[in-house]
Amino acid sequence: MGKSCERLEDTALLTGGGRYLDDLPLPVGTLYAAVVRSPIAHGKIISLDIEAALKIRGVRAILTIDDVQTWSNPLVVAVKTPMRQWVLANEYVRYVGEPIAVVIAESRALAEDGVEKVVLNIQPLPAVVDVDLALTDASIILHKDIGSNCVLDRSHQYGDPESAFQNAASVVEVDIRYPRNSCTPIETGGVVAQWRAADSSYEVTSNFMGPFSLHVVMAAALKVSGTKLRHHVAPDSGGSFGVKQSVLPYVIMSCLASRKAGAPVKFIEDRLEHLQAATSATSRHTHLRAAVDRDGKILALDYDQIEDCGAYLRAPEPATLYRMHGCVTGPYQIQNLNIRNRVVLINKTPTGLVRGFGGPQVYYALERLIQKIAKSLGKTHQEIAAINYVQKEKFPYRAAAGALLDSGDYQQALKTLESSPEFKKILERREQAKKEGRYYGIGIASIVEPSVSNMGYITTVLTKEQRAKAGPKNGAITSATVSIDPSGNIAANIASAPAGQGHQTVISQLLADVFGVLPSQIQVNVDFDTAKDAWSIAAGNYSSRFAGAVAGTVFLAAEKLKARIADYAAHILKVKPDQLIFANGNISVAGVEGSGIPFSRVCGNFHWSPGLIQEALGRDTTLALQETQFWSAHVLEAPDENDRINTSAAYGFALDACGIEIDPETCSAKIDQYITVHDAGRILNPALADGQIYGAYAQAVGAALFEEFVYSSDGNFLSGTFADYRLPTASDIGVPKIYHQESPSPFTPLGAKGIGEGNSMSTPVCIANAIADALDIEDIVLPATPSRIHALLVEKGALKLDKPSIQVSLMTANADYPLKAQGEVKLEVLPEDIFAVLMDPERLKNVIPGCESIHKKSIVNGIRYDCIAVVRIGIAKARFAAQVDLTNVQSPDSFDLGGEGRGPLGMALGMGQVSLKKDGSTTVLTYDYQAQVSGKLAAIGSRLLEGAIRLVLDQLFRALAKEAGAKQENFFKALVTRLFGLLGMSK
Amino acid sequence: MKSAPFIMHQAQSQSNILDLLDKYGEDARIIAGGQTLIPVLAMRVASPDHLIDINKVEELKNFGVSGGVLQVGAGVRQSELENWSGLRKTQPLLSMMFPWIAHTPIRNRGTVCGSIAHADPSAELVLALAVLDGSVTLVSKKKKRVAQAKDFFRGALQTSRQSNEFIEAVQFPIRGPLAGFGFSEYGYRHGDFAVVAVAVIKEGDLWTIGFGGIDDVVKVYQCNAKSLDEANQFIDELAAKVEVREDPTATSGLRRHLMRTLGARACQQAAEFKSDEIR
Repeated sequence: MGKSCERLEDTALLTGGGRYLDDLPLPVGTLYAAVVRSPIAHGKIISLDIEAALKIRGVRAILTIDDVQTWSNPLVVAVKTPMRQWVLANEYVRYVGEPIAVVIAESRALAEDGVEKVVLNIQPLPAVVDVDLALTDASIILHKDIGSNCVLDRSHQYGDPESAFQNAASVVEVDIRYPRNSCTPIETGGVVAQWRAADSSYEVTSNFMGPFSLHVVMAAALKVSGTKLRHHVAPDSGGSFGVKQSVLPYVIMSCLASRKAGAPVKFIEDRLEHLQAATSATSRHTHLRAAVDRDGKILALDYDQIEDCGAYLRAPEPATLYRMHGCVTGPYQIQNLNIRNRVVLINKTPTGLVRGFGGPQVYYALERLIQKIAKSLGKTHQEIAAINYVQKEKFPYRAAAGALLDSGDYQQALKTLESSPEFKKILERREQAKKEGRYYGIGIASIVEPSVSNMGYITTVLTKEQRAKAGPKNGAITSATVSIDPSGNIAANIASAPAGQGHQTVISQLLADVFGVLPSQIQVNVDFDTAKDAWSIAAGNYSSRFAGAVAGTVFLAAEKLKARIADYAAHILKVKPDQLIFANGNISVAGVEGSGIPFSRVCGNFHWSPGLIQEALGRDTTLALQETQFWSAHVLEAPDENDRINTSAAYGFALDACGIEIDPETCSAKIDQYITVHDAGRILNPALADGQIYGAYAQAVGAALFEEFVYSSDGNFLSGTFADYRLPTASDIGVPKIYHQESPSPFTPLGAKGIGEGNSMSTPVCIANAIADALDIEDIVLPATPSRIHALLVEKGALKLDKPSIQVSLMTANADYPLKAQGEVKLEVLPEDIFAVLMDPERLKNVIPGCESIHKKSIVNGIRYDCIAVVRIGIAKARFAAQVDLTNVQSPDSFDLGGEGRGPLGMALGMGQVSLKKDGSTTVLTYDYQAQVSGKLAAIGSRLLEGAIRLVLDQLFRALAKEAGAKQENFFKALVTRLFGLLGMSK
Repeated sequence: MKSAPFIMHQAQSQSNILDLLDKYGEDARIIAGGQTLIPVLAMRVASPDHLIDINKVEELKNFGVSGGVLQVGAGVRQSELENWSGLRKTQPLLSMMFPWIAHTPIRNRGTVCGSIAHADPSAELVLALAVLDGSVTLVSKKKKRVAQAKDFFRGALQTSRQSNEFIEAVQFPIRGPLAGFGFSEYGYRHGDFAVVAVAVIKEGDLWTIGFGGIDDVVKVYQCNAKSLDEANQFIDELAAKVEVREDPTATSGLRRHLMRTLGARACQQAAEFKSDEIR
């Protein structure tokens, strides 16, 4: 322990020997699922026609909401709310990508053929994509049963914030918005599910990562007892980062699909589905105020947090808010605190666990605030931090909202940072840059990193009366089994669902140390099975719980076994057990050379000669060389009457600093140097600890500078590929300088704390602080993309302000139609001729591309054509069932052209004005258009959408002119060429 | 992410390709490198009934200089041209651009003509063809025609290719020995689509300046400028004046700014250009 070593996992993973979900053998007759998803953000489902899809050979069944309502219950959530969430949309769709039906077929390709043939008729409704707008009276309401978009509004008060604000020398405040983003694992979600009608049970293998408290939620949704939902975790998982929690609804959906099809069903989420509809970190609007004295000591904090949880509150949300609740005061001694938490539902993908889970959101506000306080007092960020830090001698320290900060030495970390050569370097560089007029800034951030979540923290969302009624919830029960075979080989079974962190490596190091054998003699099994393995609700891979809880529990189990073996060995060697040393595969007496007996022989006796053991130690002696340990940190108590909650068992610490230069030519932020000082208690394996830091840092650089789930104002999702959801590459990230210190936790068996999420929490705000410093500007919006930095430089007056666009639409801006297109086409016909075509369906049929049939009918103010149109945009080809509305027809001057199209690639809605001006024998047609494009086209082609709309309109008007009698361009030339060609005289 | 069913045709010769295109027209797609087409098929954004694989047609794999142009056949991979020893001398601009085109594995498969056929307004090769005033040779079963770049590129991903036509080759005109070249691009990550890319050709006082990424098609402008300052002045005014795209990738403000800063870099490079000094 405490040393780096080669990872046991890597040989398999690097040589194609990994056993990810998709590698596992399948039950005979397994079918494949593909999901029909909502192309739009909000709408009422009028009809769903699956007949054509069912006719495809190889399509075996289609799961619809009727089946879902027959065989399952809505998903339960932590908040009392009339909101109902089924695994398929019921009556309404509320976010782009929401599952509507599941096609089950003999291959995934056939299932996708089926998806394309399902005919959706959804009546679009206005969408709301901003939490502040969603709280206004004018907003549309997502769930009518709730009567509001706000599903939770809770206030908590600790100490006496009111007096503190009254007596403060000053009040400093920040208003921030943390964006939607994710940590995207290479392996997406996947499930193999099987319904067993004989005993009414489900058996599932998936890459769901836990927490297994959600196994209870799954079973309840499937209307079976937990023992009738057997869940296996695949041995390897290709990254999780919290995100694999979102496999939960897929497990339920796949189970129901299997029941529908009467066969095992496999579902693997594709990348577009994953980015669009799996999950996201919450976005948050926070207004944070601090009461500050003259020196910068913070007397009180007042948080107003408005949380975007997407279209449905999905368990365990609103956990993103409450995971950090106990420690929202960070590393500071602030005993007066107000918190108001509002959870708001808007037309976006439901949120869930994403590495850092609540930390990036809280610290983005808190550490921006510290910088602002420092600036207002003419001090450094470090100075303000230092006078507010919890002092070393005060640990364990009870924070205002209940966190029991276990151990630490924050001042020492500050010393380490300030005395580092890297920090001195960035100070010098900033000085130099200032002289040269360059934009160079330094950012600081310090955070406490909670690990090993208290399973009871989510009940803080309930009032104390509700909690009293439901009974207290607390703890985080961790389990592990260690066993030794007749030859002294050791195996451990853990329910930690690892996703590449190296759990097997650490556990084998630990067991090798305890028993004095080689790590190669140890087998660690992580393919956890809810039917046979020891587990409880806290099982899984989240809240950085491995080092603190899982490794510690394995250690406790191993120590028990060791004591058992030592008792017998002591009897053989005729010494006391505490005189024994387990080393080099022997058990020997301390200080007596050559006294040892082989560990394997002693273990063998337990299996081959139990009689000897009983003879030596008595009939009641436990013979098993297997020990299952359950452990929960005693400090994880239920929330008290005043909503104080110790949200986690251990609290690590990270202090970051970075130097960033803004390149005014490209408006990009370049990280010059990043320094991160960590205290995660006892480090079990330094290389793996550093690996966690590098990984969290890389993803946080993404969050700070590159990654965002972008939605347009109409709720359409625009980040459906890695070209648009921009993960940073190795060359964009750089390598942070890491320093460690170790303040062991008194509350975990090994003194270890989690280290997997610190930089997810500290790095985004550290980078934002550096940019704010470089530009001397306050409002930094993440990710700080070049477009945003450009706007800041313009705001500062450092760059010139250009007009946004030359062509200005005369139509009023409409959030439901965010795309704009204006243009002018010269047509070689008279306006009257064009109108003649517009009014004649037979002639219009020749104009609309791919039009097979057309029907005309009257509507208010005009006429409507129903038709099929095939639209080609470069490589793409989309078939739409279209409605074209001609209204306000003022022949020969103008008309309004509206329409909508629906097809497998999505929906398109448009409306606009077309005017025609006669110019000699020609017509100048101008159009001014607004549109909405949704579904797949929007998700993958946002960069080119407006161009595509212009193109489609341009093609349409040219075809119109052609039908109206415009001369074929180069018609004669072409004819002549053809004639000559026929005569063999081409060229 | 599984394509719709299609019939794959392994073309053996160019006449074979032309016959197939003549027969299937809009329902067919040519596949060469497949670096755009395959993902688009997987996402079912395109679902042609027929794919015509031209990878076995040897006669298309030629490139060379004749009649003052560098002609590149439909089967030529981007990396083949990139690694051709004569490229720096004959087409310095292409030589400057290649490292900016996606990533090496993509250039190893992707073809020059494929990129032109796709007509992405942010693509480097599209910019090169436009700014060099190059052309595209299109053949159908019935005729052969040469389209100038400015007529060929019609809009975002839109060209003047007819459904029965095959892009046999593209021609990049070779400029005189006194021409100077400059190229500058900004993308968010290495290999990304250009937010803005600028290519400059300076021939005496005549500056030809092309911008990729600012509109539905590459925009090419010319000015007479006696000095670098004058050229920059021209770009500065241009950036304020012309229509510039705004989309979720970048604001029009950033794009106008990049037209100026990257334009200045590219112009300076063109002014100081010495043919043997290209990286």
